[in-house]
Amino acid sequence: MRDIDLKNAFGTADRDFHRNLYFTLAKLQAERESKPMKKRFARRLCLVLTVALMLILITGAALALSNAWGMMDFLRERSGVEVLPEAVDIVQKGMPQTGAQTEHANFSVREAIYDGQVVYIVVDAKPTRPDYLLLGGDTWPEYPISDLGPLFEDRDGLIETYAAENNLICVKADIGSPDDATEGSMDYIVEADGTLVFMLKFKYDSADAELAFSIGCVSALFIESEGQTKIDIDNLQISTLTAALRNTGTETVVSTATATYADCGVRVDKITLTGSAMAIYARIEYTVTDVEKFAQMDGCLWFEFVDANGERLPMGAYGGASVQALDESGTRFELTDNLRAAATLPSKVILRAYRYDEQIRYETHSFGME
Amino acid sequence: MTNDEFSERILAMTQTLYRVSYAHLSQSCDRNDAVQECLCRAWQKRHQLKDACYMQTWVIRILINACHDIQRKRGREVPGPGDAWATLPAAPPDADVELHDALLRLEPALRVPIVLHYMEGYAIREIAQILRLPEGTIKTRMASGRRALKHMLSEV
Repeated sequence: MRDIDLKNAFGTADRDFHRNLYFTLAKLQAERESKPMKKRFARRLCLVLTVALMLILITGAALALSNAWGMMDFLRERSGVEVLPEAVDIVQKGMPQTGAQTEHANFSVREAIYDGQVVYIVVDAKPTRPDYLLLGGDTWPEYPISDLGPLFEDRDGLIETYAAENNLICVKADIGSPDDATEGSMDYIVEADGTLVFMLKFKYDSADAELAFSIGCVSALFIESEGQTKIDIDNLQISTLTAALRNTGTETVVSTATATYADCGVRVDKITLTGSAMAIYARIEYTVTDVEKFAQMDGCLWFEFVDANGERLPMGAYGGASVQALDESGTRFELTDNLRAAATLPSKVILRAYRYDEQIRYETHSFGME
Repeated sequence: MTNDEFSERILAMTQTLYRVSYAHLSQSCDRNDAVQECLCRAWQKRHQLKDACYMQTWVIRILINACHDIQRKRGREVPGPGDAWATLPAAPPDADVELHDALLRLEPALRVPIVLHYMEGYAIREIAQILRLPEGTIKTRMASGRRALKHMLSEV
């Protein structure tokens, strides 16, 4: 082995990798300069909102556009998830907010839902000039034009070609989750009038009646330098979008017993299901009982909720799932997942262990919930 | 650690982040997603890092978790045997193609310790800490990985 130099097996980081890294760091730095989200009680919130009234932007105007994408469009068309019909009733529009403006775009909240577990938010970025073409997230001018969303999905060619043909200037525009949100995800599309629309989801577990938050908004021109397209990081524009949401609330049930998954070397101690019209958020706490067997899982142990036929239950509106250690020694873990919303929380769930890298299914146990 | 120091240290780790993500994910878009997620998590938790000298192993651990999350998501989106390496991706232009293909044919459980040891220079104990596995397990896997690699390379 010593005579084989493995260092060149994967080559070196390519241009895409470098600029992804560079821009992510720049964005994190930029977001740092914006205020992190804070949980506030309603009384304190009133003070903030009174001041904010001077700068309020009402999203109703944006929604006057007949083909504007809303929260339910993103969930249905882009994520393919179903929510309860009542979800429409908890969508908040026209909430108090202070818009963010950069030289290239005006950012504002179009719609949002906060159910005490996850913030779902649709944010508009409207170009400040008609010849600006806003590109969200990790989209670059040399990417296919179809990356800009459904309006462009039948078109061929590259974004930079489309921009040149239409005398448009490509501009990077992005938003980020608040600093203290535990995790999140983002999607974006471009609408007919050039508005870049983001759908942002991030976890924020709170029982407070209201939630005031700030998210960082950044924009920058794409520039040509040394024969490459780069983001003009030196002139990165940074601003902050602030809004307040009502917590529409959830219901919770917990498991009544534990169960040992002997093949995987763990015991599931507790399952907590928290439901809203958007999803059933699941939290599974488990403890390692057999170190050797657990080590054989190679860090790839996972759990899935299944129906009586062993079919995996569909996921909810949040989509993301993760596992984290609850102690330093790595013997207690918490897995968080989410399932499709239901009108009532289940009185029984069936949980199957599996190894996700090799798709091996292990034991299944039923848990009573109350 | 200041924000600038954080960025400098991350930039100094560029090739390591690239190789570790490559060892887990076949698609460049997935690697970019994993690195973005890793940086966001590391940034949010940077104040929890008690000793900056452990930053590299700490970030690698976060990156591996982010890679696992993406693998899991892929498994969820494509039910059934979702083996990411069923079709080997083309080697990057500046890579050694034989080594590239041989490494990617290794099971991930064998490949990752090999990458961390021979590419990144980590000792067995450090790899055990990063992967949260006993040292003996790492040794066994590296021995199996070496044997498999030698076998594959001798066939070329």
